[in-house]
Amino acid sequence: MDSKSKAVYQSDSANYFLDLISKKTSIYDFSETYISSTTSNAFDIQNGIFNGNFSSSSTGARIRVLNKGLFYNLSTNQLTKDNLISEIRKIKGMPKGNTKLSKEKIVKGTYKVTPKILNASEAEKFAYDLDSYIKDHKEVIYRDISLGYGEEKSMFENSEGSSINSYYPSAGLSIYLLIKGKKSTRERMLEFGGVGGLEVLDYENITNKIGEEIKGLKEVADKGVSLADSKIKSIKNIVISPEISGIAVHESIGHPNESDRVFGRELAQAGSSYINKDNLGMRIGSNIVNIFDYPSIKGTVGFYYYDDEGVKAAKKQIVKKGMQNELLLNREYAGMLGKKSNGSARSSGYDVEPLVRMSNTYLGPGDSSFEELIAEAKDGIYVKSFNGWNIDDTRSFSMYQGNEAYLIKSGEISTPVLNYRLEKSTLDFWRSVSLLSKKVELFNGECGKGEPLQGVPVTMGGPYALLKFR
Amino acid sequence: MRCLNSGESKMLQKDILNYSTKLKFDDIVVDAVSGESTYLKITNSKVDSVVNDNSIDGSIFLSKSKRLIAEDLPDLSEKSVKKVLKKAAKTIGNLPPKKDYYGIAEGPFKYKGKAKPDQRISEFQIGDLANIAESMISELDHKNLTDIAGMVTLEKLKDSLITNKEVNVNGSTAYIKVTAHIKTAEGISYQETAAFSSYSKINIKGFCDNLYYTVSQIKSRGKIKNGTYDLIYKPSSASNLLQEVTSAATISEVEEGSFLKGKLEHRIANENVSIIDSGIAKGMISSSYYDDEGYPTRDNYVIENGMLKTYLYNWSEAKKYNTQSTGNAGLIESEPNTLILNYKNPEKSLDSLISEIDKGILITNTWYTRFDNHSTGDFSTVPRDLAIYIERGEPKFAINQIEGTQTVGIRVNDNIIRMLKNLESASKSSVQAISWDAEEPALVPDILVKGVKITTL
Repeated sequence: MDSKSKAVYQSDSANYFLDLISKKTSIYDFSETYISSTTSNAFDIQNGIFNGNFSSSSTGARIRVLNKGLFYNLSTNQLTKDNLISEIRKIKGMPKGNTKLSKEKIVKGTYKVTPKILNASEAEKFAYDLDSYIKDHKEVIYRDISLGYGEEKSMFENSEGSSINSYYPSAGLSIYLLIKGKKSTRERMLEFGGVGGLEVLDYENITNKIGEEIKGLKEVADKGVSLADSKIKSIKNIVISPEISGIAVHESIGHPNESDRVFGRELAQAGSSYINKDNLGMRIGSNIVNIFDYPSIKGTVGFYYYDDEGVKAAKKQIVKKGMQNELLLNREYAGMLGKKSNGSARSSGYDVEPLVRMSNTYLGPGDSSFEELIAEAKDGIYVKSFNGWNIDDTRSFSMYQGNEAYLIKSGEISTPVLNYRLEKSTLDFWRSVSLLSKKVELFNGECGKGEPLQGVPVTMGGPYALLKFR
Repeated sequence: MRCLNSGESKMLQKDILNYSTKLKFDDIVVDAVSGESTYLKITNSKVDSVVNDNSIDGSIFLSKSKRLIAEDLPDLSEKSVKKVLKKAAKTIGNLPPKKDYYGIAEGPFKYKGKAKPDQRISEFQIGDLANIAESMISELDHKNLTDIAGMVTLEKLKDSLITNKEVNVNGSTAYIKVTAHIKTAEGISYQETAAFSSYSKINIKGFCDNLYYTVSQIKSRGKIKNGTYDLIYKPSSASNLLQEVTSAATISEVEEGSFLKGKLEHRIANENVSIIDSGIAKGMISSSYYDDEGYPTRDNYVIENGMLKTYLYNWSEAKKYNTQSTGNAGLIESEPNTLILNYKNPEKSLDSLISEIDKGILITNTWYTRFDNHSTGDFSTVPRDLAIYIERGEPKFAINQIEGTQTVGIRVNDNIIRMLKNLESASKSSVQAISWDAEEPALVPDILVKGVKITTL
């Protein structure tokens, strides 16, 4: 260690590095620095066997500089003066770019979520109790419980004067179940958790949900019938659960309304969109389709106060009365469109660039009950959960494989079905929405995008919906 | 916030091992990866942005009386490392044991297949990537192509691994990866990715010419109907699908009930098909001559002449099943290495594969491969960018099922074992195939699979 480095170590606060970076990047059009420190703990119990404890902690900095219209995202976890200066010296040798940022409010403040419970013994007890609960269900022939919790502290500053300190704890639980019935097996992955301490995991709700899932999937595995392709195609009235509403919202509404996709930035990676600059405002769904992205729902995994460009989280109405209404924007695309950002820039860590991302995305409610939807469907199918799913790279043609699904006969739920696939074009799907129930439910997921691939936690959801296809 | 990993003196891996040994752990693995990753994004025919990460990532794996802890180290400073290890020593005794754990690989070992990175690529800087990106844009621009997008990636990484079971190994890699997406005047989109670990093989003009050649064969777009088609998967899509086979062959997935459970020594593929899991394949950017516990990697014939011959194990899993490690650690669970598909006596070109098809589709890229049921191997996947309809041995049109979009708009519905059994032919030229959805490369040719169910609107 040279004497210079030692002196820096003695001044090792993040504030020192923020000042240093600020001075060294002041000659550029714009700069922002994000220093993040994370810790996490996780463990896994497979069929009752504890697989070990996995912990990680990291501290790193991302320096983001706009030079002649081109963004440089430089990151390192070697936080020394010499190394940071060496990173900044990499800003050269690139052609000019076109990026112009939107003008945003200067923000100064500290924003944090306070956890109630965040300790190892509570987490372990929770998972073992859960494992015992599942073990009592003999139809579950394989079970895997993963529980993780952690915290992230971050400091953000930009050359316009914004300065934001954040603290977010989080806890998450994944459960994989393999259920054996008389005719087949069913797989199920369930995700729970959110921003907060272990208190976001409600044991009673979770065990109730697992019990209900095992019962339903066992019935499908025992008694499910396989439908012929022609029968599947002939089904016109479909009731979907909040889980199916959610995945459809995420895949066929949220993603195609990400502005970077719309304008071609993800063409060679996560794809493009059926929405383009010439059809903004197009009709996507029926008049009762309203779709939102709202980061400020407390306790969810998609929660944040300010995005990773220092812009306040906003409620976005992506679809209003069936019409495309609002794109998800970061500062780059807001600047291009002459608008303000709606706070949709997120990164999965200090070592990657912020991208346009969803947070909590959902279909707004209606005023019917679930029973009314089933009765109105008369003859059709009810799809409660999905297993496999996929969608094309323009988000125009999706498929959700029913995991737990039932035929509807004479307005009542009847025979379980093994192989139903809801395979429709995006516009047919959303234009067929005829009735919605009153209550929105959200489901956890991880959303992948960009290169290097970034996974960020999101929720997706909606009410029960009746789709009537012609 | 205090930044723990500032300029304090770094602890050498050997010192971390010695300190851990004093704390009386049974098994100790210390790993460190350092280096630089750079991504130059291309959007709308221009360099769009640069992402560069220069970090050191350390990790340690510890066991004591079958109790396991794996820690990512925040940095390698003496203070931080000792803090982590002392905490681990204190907490490990309170953890439940992993009852089916049987230790890490016990060396010393003899290794083969160690490769040195090309010095000229190791010396590449961000500016050199800008030159590659601009020459790629220029080549494609001259061919009157639009919607040019993509990525130029440079990875320069060094890894070193030391254990308390006589393992002390290191490796390094350096490669360039290029991806380009294009659209022709006729509105037909296409993309490809190539990786180069040898400087002399970097050929941007050749890459662009190949890209253009594929897409220039087709001048129109059209629709097809639901039905059964013979499919030719180009290598990037074949890689995406076939890697499901080596994943399903890891013993951890077999225990979860993968479609290969209970099928050892059963015929699961066409007798001309062999699938090899390899850590030592020459020229592959994913090759590593040792696995995550320092055991030598090798060529494992997972499928040989159509028969399932082995599952994939780390040391502990192999002990559990009374067999030998296959060099596939993952410290907790086995992981696949690089997949190689060998087809017996391949003599055909892609064009001759096409000429054999009466009604079929050339699939160039797929994504969102999802299983309906991992136990049966039923899956669906979605072709993206470009799929070409073939009739009576001739490419006819680019499939485009939804007007006003660039989408192919079809879905492939199959079963992995059925696919392997119906893999009836392959081209003679295997390539290092990568795509956005299959980040790990595989060495595969174009493959022909008969009688696949296609659904569409």
